[in-house]
Amino acid sequence: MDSNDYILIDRYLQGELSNEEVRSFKQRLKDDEEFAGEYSLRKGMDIFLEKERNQPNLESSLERLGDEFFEEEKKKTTFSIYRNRIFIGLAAAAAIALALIIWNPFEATSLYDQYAIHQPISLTEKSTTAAIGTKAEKEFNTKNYKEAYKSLSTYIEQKPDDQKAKLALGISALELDKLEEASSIFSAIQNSNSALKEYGTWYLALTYLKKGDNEKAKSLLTKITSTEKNLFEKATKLLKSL
Amino acid sequence: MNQHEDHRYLIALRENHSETLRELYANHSAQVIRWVMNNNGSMADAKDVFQEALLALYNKACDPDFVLTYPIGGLIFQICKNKWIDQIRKKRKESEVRIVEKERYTTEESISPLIEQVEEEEIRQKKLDIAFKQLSELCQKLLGLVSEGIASKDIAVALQMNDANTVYRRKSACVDRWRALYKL
Repeated sequence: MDSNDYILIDRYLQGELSNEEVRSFKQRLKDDEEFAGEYSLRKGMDIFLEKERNQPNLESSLERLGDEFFEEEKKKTTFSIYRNRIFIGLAAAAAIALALIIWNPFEATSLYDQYAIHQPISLTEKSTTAAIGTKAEKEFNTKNYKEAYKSLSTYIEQKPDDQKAKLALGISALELDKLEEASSIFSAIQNSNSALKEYGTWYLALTYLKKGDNEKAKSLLTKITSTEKNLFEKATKLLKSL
Repeated sequence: MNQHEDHRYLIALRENHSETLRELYANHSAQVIRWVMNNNGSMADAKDVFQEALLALYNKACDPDFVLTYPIGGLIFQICKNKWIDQIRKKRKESEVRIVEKERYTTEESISPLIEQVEEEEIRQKKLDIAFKQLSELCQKLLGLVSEGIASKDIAVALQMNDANTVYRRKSACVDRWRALYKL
């Protein structure tokens, strides 16, 4: 092998050889083992460089498909929730609210700030504890997270099963930099059968983003399935920026 | 040998075509789940080996000379089995290895050369990766830009080199260095 052989291999791979040269090149691959080995290695380098560019995106796709096809038990649970009217109502409300969340790169600085745009909550219509619910709702929706955190805590003592309020409490904790508490609230939502479980995953990812643990954030974002289309799209977009 | 119709799945891997890839999961994941779970593995293990098998196939999907001559399901299944056997061996569960070990050698003859090619490329890619990381930052950047198909004169501007000829010479030098590091 000399430098001309390497140049010949490069020219072949770039499709620069004439038909006659291609024929003799292919014959040499059959006859000359060392040449064939060098060709194979050079081709391997091209494969490597192509993979460097494209494999991360492929891995994200495979990760999502893997979550979908290798977790049958969870899928069944989700399906049964679909038949629940409350779920459909909540999901529709959440989807509309999320559709309003628009990523505006000109307003925010950090990635966390760009994505930490929270939907307004509405607690009172299903509450018998109207006063504290209204108060919490107003505080949360006007981004007064310090007061909202207190009111929501009180509200949840009376309505411990209200997942929407828990999500709002988690978001308030996150905004107040109570990151450990936020993590545990979002983990609980993520691992529940709640209609909001995907939001649990999303906000847990944002919590890690705020902590600066981008790897954990990424691995959570890949778990968000296309069941919640808006969330899925936002997660995909955020993954690309990480 | 003629190209099998499943070759389209390799194209889907190369182009990250998720709808076609979904078919792969829909048609072939169940067999792998059953086998891995029957051989001391969990659902998560099955998911991991399945994904690793597809990434191993992705290497060959990027190889312009590679032709799939066998149904892809059989190929994926065999690669998954080999990967899981290797993992069990690494965990030193010797008794478990003995149970599944013979599976590696009962492979159909027609599929063996394909499996060999996939596994060889996987090893080569790992070694290339180690060598690539030892290259200078400039070489890594330059090779990346060339691979993207960017014209030499534009690369010269981006990397502040004199002209397209310099780019060409530097590229050859980087490839030579990469090859030497690979062979160390």
